[in-house]
Amino acid sequence: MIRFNEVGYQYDQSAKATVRDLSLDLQSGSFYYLCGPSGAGKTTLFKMLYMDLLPTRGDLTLFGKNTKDLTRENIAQMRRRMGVVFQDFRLLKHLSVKENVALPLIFENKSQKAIDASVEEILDWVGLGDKLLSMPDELSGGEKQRVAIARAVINRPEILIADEPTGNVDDTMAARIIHLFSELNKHGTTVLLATHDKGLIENFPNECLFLEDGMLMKGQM
Amino acid sequence: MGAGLKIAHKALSLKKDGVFRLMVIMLTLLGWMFAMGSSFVLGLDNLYDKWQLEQKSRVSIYLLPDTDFRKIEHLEKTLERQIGVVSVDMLGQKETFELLEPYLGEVKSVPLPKIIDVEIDHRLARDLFDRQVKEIFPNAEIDDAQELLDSVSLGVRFAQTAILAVAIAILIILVILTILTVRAGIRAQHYVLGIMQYMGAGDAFVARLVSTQVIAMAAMGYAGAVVLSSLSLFTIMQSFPMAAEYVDASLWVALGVAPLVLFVVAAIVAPWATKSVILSK
Repeated sequence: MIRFNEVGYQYDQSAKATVRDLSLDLQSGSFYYLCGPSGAGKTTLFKMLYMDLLPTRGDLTLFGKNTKDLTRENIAQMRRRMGVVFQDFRLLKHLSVKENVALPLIFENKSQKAIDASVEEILDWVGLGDKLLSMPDELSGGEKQRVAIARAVINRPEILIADEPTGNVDDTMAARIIHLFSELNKHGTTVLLATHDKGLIENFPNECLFLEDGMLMKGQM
Repeated sequence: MGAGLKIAHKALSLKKDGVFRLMVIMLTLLGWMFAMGSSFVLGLDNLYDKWQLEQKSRVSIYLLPDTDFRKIEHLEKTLERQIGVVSVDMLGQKETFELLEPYLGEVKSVPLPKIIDVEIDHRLARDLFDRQVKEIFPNAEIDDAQELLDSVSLGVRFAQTAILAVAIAILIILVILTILTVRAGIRAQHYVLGIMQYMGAGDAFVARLVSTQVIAMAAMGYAGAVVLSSLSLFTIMQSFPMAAEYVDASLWVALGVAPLVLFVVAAIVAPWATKSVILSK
C-alpha cells in the first residue's frame, strides 16, 4: 500500500537531509506508531505521505503509484483516499462542526442527503452527535480533536495519518481517541500515528516505527 | 447552488478580504467610465452625422457684388430645374452682412458679394451643377463645406480614438485588478486553502469556488455601473436639453452593454488567475 524505497528529503541543498535512506513497506490494514524525538523527521515523513512534499531522493509509492509521477489532480484524488489528523486540529473556525466534517464529502460531489446522513453518523460515532451546530471555539480540545478525526474519516479513507493526535488532550481523551483509531483499523483502515507518548504505546501495543535523525530504527522506543 | 457548495463557499469566503470588497467599487467605477465613454462615442457619432447631413445638404454660390440680377434669376431658374436641387435662395443684404461680419472687422462699407444658398439632396449630380454655374458665371465660387467636414471628421475620429485608448486602458486595469484581487483573496485564505487541499480539494474545484465569487462581485459591479451611468446620462439630458437630441436608443443600449464587457473580462480572468496563484504556491 505504501512503499518507501531509499527515500530521502532535504529542504535545502546545503542542509542535512531531514529524512535519509528510508526503505519501508506499510501493509494494508495495519496499525503503526511513528515514534522518535523532535526533529527526527516525523513531520517531513508525514508531509511526504500526504504529498505536501515530494522525496528529493528515492521513490515513495502510494496505492501503487510513484508520488513523483502524480499530477496535481492525481494528488487531490489520492488525498481523498487518505485521512489526515493534525495535532492542532486545523478546524475551520468560521464553519460549524457539521460543516467542517462535511467538507471532504463536498469535494467528492456527494449529494446533500448522503452528506447529512454521513455527518450525523460519524459525529455520533465520535460521541459528538449533539454538537452538530456548535462552532469550533465552543469545543474543548478533546472535542475539537474528535471533530478533526470525524472529518478525516468521513470518506472512509484507506489510510489514516495522524500527527500527534493526542498531544493536546488529557489521558482519558487520548485513550478514547486511540479506541476510535483501533476501531477504524479493525474495519480495514491502515493507521499511521505519530506520537511521543510511551504510555499510549504500552497500553495500546502496535508495531512501532522509530525515527531518529531522519533514519528508521524499526521496533525501538 | 447546492447546500454543499454553499458550505464550500463559506469555507473559502473571499468576501472577508478588504481588497475583494473594493473590487465591487472599482468595477462599478470602471464600468461607469466604460459606459459613459461608449455613450460619448455614440453620441458624438450621432451629433456628427446630423451635422454632416445638414452641411452636406447646402451649397453656397458666391458672386461678385455688381452681378446683374437678371443673370442671377437666370441661374436660379436653371438650377431649380436640376434634379437634386430642393430650393434656391439669394441671401438679402442683411443676411449676407451678418454672415460675413466676422471676416470684415472694422470695415463696414465694403461692397458685399451676392450669395445664393442652394439646398440639395443626394440625387444632385455635382459636376453638372458646377458646370451650369460656371457657364453663366465663370468667376463664381462654389462652396460646399467639404473641407470643413473633413477637418471636423478628423477631430471626431481623433476624439473617438482617444476614448478607445482609454477603454483599452480600462480593460488592462480591470485585468490587473482582477488578478491582484484574486491573489490577495487567496493569499488571505492561505490557511483555509491548505486545509481544503489536504482534504482533497482539487485545483478545478478551488478555481470554481473563487471564480463564482469573483463573478458574483463582477455582477454587482456591473449592476452598479449600469445604474450609475443611467443616472449620469439622465442628469446630463436634464441639465443640457440640447444634448438630449443626440441620445437615441443605441446610446441607452450601450450603457447596458459596455459594462457587460468588463463583467465578461473579469469572469474570464478570474479562473485563470486562481489557477496561476494556486500553482505558484
